[in-house]
Amino acid sequence: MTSVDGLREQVAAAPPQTSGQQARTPRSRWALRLIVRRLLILPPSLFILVTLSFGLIELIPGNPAVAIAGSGATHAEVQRISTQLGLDRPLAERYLDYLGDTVRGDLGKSYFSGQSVATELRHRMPATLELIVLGLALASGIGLGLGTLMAYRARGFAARLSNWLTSVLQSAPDFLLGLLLIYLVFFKLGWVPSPVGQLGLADESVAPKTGFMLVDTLLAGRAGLFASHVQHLVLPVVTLGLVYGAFMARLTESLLSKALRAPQVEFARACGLRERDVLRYAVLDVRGALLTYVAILFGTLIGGASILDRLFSWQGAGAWALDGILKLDAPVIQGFILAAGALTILAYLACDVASTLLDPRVRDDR
Amino acid sequence: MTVLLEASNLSVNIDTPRGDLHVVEDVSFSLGEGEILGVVGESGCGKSTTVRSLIGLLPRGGRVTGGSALFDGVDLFAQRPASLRAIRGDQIGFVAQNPFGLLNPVLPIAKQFRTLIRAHRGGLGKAECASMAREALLRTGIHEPDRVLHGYAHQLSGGMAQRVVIAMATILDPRLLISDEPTTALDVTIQRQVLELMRDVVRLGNRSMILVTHDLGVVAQFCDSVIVMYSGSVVESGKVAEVFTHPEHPYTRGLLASVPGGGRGETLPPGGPPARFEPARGCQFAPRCSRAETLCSVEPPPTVSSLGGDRRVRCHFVEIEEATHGAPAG
Repeated sequence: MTSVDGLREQVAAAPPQTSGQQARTPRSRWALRLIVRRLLILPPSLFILVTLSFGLIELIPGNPAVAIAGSGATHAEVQRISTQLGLDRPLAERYLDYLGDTVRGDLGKSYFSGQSVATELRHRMPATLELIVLGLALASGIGLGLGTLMAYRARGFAARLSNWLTSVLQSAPDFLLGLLLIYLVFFKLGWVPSPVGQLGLADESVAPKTGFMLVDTLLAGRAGLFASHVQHLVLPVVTLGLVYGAFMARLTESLLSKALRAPQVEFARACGLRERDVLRYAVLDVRGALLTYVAILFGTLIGGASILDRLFSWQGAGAWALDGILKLDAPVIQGFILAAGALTILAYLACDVASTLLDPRVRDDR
Repeated sequence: MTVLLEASNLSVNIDTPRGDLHVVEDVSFSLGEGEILGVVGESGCGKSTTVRSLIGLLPRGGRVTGGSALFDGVDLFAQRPASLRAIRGDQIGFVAQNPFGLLNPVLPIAKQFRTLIRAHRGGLGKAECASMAREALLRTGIHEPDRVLHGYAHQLSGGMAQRVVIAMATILDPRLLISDEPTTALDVTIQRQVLELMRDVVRLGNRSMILVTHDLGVVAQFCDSVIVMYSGSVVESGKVAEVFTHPEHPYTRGLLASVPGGGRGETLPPGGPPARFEPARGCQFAPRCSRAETLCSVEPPPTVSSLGGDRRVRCHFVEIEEATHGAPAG
């Protein structure tokens, strides 16, 4: 009877309720420390990334000077272009120059177009980001919704339907789905404008401030342009949303159906919790894992969304970088790797911070 | 003693790819107010399924195929999901093994208490919920409830976690507490404390408890009555004092003899309760029973109830002995 006896003394001796605030403060401090620690990793990781890619491009056979000069060019002409691009200098010298310039924010010029790589990236990366972030947001929404349905009502009609739907969507490559959507939604139904880029052909663009068209059009107070941009966003975002939504749905389903069989869910039911709370408990359990997958998808898409870029004439970074790779346009490749790498690392950082804030188990480990 | 729970002819099937698995068959028992009933048997004998079926917590594909369970005059099996949910946690509490797994890993304990309380008592404020939780934790022997309430499951020790679980299961003052191997995952030293705690919580409020366990020592020490299950059926039941001192069923005898150091007589032969895809024909224990004869594997054993009191034994031999001697054997 140890515990039942002495109940009154214990009530009297109960400590004042200060622990709530004590528990709050370290939470934000932990997060801050984590962010700082991760940001410190950023420069060395990028340095390694740049060095590796610099060496790799050097190893690939082929000479951009030959490509620029054209097939009919003489040896002297090629030589002249090489000198002009600085390709005849020793590797170490070029590498050190490149590092110095990069630190100053100068990423060089494209061998072919002569455009500043930094400027191009400032215009193109935001366009790509807009697409990927919105696409992934849609994918997460679709995935969480359908996945929960499939896991929770595994035997229902709606669950079977979405099971079938996600199977079809998962097996379709993104460009095929994009083409289908263009055909149906633009060509047949005419619900959206033609997929010619971020704006219509007749639209007069605004001067880029942030590079994000959604923001820039609003900042310029051009409601019509904003609407036009939103309309142009629909198809590529829906394509991304459906393809990766199907993936997220599968993932959510497998994680959640396991979580729904966990003892904590049974205990929640045994305590008579409402079904929506029971489901919430299960979703909370898989939240961190889902977040990690979104971050991984983000990294993958930043580096490889070139097909949709091209399909929708998006003027994003993906197709531009692919062009650079095919032509051995070293500054373009380097710049892209640097930007995509930095963004990916930042995305993982955000994911880490979020899961630390969301999951007390992770928090206590750190 | 007023009867609180009366389960009659309870049967449960689980739908598997290989067909319907008969997990519980024709199980009857009754539980009085303030009584602690032990349910014992080897793993796989259907004891967990039996108690889970009472509150509608069967595994996927499981369903009650027959019988009734009158809880305070209400048939639990006839309830709609919503009203059964309202009974769970409020009038019937449930505790299972592995306390860490039972608590949500990412929500503060206080929030879990609040969700639970509000599921049954809508409209209660945060402060009221917190003070209820604090009281419940103190009752389960947690001296610093506020620290626990603001913490998370993984910060607790096993014994503490089980105390929190018991506090949750009993916070709304349920009349019946079902505990399914509540101490299996705990250290031996903690096991006793937790069991004593549960007994005290139950006794103090004149509540009843069903205690599922494979530990006969626990039954002997904490329970008033016991039902012994084998392969989905009750083979013997009655007051603990009688069943344990004069076991009638060969399986009960074997179980008791298998207790390390405490047993005499023949221990159980190796093996376990068989999984059945068809209703039982003869006695399920026959293949492992040293006394078994042809009759046992053909004819289902009768329930002998002439031993006095609440004693029930399902065995051909007990029936025969009863008929010959006309008095309790043993």
